[in-house]
Amino acid sequence: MAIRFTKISYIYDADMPYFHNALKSVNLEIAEGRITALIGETGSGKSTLVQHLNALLVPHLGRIEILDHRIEAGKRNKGLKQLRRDVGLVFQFPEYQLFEATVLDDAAFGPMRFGYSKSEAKKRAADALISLGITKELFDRNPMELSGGQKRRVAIAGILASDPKIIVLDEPAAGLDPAGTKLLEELFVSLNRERGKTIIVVSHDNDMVYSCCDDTVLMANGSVVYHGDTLALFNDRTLIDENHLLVPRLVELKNRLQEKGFKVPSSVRTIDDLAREIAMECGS
Amino acid sequence: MTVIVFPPFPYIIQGMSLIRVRDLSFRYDENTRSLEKISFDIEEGDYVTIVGRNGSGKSTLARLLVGLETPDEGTIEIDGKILSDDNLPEIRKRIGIVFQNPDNQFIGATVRDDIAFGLENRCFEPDVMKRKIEKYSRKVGLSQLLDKEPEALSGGQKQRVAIAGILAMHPDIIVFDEATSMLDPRGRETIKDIIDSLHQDRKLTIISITHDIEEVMNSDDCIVLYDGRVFDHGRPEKVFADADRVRSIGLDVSFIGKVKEAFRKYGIVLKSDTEDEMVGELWQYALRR
Amino acid sequence: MNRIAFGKYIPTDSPLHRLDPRAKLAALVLLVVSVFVPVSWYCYIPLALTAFLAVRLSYLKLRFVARTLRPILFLMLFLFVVNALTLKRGEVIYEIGSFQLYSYAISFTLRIGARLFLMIVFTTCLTATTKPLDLNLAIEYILRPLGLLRFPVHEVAMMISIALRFIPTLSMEAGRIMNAQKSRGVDFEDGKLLEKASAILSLAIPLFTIAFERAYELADAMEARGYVPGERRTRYRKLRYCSGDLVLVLFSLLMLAAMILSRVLL
Repeated sequence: MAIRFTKISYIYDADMPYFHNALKSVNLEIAEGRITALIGETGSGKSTLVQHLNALLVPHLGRIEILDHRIEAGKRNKGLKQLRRDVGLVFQFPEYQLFEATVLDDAAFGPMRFGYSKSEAKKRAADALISLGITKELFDRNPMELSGGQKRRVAIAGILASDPKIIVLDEPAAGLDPAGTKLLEELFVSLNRERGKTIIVVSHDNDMVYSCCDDTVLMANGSVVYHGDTLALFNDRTLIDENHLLVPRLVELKNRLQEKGFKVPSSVRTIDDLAREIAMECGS
Repeated sequence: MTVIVFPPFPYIIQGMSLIRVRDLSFRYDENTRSLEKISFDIEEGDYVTIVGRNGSGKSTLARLLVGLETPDEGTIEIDGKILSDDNLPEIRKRIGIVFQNPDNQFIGATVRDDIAFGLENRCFEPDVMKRKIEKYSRKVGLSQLLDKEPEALSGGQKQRVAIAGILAMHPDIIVFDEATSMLDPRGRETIKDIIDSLHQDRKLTIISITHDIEEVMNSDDCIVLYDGRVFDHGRPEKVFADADRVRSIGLDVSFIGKVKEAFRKYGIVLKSDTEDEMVGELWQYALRR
Repeated sequence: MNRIAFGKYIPTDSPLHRLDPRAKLAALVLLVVSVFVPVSWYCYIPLALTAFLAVRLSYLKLRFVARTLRPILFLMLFLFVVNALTLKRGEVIYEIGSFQLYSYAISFTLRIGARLFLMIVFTTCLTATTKPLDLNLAIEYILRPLGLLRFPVHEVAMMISIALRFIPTLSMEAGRIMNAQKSRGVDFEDGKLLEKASAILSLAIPLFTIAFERAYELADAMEARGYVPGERRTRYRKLRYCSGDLVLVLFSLLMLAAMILSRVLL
């Protein structure tokens, strides 16, 4: 198991009249080497859960095991730096964390904090930047001069440069244009497929979740309501209705075709799969 | 029976466009070109989308239209008046803008105060303001939230506050500058529904800058910017018909467009523009086989 | 960021919430002055009762009030050490080696502590029950005479209200950036001096960038909605007195008068 949550509870403003129980005794196990989507409405507890993955919040109750790290409620937990190196967290709008004078320095900032030598950190940063399409000419530029999409990629490179085993991305494509969105989707899929990283993506875009993510964790009101296969979730009428999920457009079209009489299997993941199945059914 | 009136003075009819932009150029500094000789017309009551990848000059155009920037060259004509420093306050009364970031345009301490902000600037009396606040907050579905502070609101709710604040000033034109791009799907849908219902009345001209291809397909008219120039302008179905051409400038086609493209690859050519039609068309195709 | 309790508005509907901010501000000034008047110990009894009443009438939890007071404990401790070393009046009540602790050092420290304590409780009752916006209106109202001297009262009030509006937003933003930098291995708590400096920079630079960005966008939004600094505009909010306000101000006035009287007579 890459991540195991045992009865995790977290309460905001615990001593205020308006306290908020953000996580309610959450149990969750995320396997290594998979792409897991974390979905749920705003305020369902997703971002609280994500912050626990880096011990930015420490649970009020329960125990968390991540790789070989342990975080326990009510204890002063040690080894947070190693945990944070092993679990790379890409926040929403990560471009706001850029602050060094050059692109390369900023991407090397993380690895240096995690104890790599300056030259090693820069080498890793350079590799990460290039893998994200930030070319050498841009290395000495001030990050503030770059375009929005470039800044986002520099920030992500700064996380990847420390070579984390688990990568958590919170709405990585928010506010980007279609081309930038596609680039980031391809990025995390290839990090998983080619480099075996465990990926967790927080997203509201169920179309993307459906086509890219193996598993889905669905949260509502501070609890995990579903954890399992993505395709199974979005093909389950009852689960969809109970949780008011937005059905991916592909599933919607596929359902309509099935209702009409086509024998499309529910395992179609992409538009291309769908077209191929239908074409085969029609014998062309 | 249709009556065809032959226009005796074609130039007057032509001059009726609510917004006329002619040879508009603008640059932020010497080295970067933002907009280069842009020209287009927008008709009264139309819902126009402006698309283009990040950095294509869309937001600059929005800022120019509402007078937050002054053009280097060219003119913006609104209802026959060329936008200038002298008539800016007048023209501003007729045009409102909803920005991208819901937080950065929330000025008041509560919903009520924020809707009041623009009215205070126009020197309305408190009781008139109260009536307007109630009327327009109802229109965007915020009646129950009037005394909430911004921290207690979702992004979609804050954008609705911004819309109510603009509607309360009775503008002729509303510009949405990527107003839904920072919202979750539910927030996005509510804003798009409001835009739709405003468009139904046909009293307002709507200009929406967006990356949301489904919103574009829903509009009357679409202007595509690429590298500071008008790349295409016309009905969205036409503009987005050629998937490869659209992708070459960093945009994407609609879901229906993608489905058609995929089927074409397997030798099935579809004509439909909606999902309903498509399901039927495919069924007909299967039956024929 | 949620740990800061002092000055925080608590959205409940208590009797104090419903009073006019001008009355509350005036009462605060009167009561704080009263706190600094008395000489005799007995005088603190009515003041403490008033403070207790104020807390009850604002529906505040005692734990919350205690949290606002925590910082003054350290101040008290420091003050006590200084006083013990310097104040040599009254009786000697403790002796160790050449050091003597005098009673006056204790009573003086306690008195300052009591005053600070009361002052903070009263202020907390005001800020916890008055929206920053209303407080700002009250300040604007009180500053109004300065307008005659060409002091830009409205603009200053607008600046204060916008600053107040953005404090929660920016403090949330600061929390978010701190988290992002912690994830990148920054240690905000301990670490060497050089590391500490870079930790502070990693928070400060992004925060300034965001603050400026927000400021520009806000200025655009205000301009687009027809705001012109210095131009006449009407105000939607009008403050209205009620009978409760009169009671509050009269009560505070009486308290001050009583304290002054006690000082003259005792």
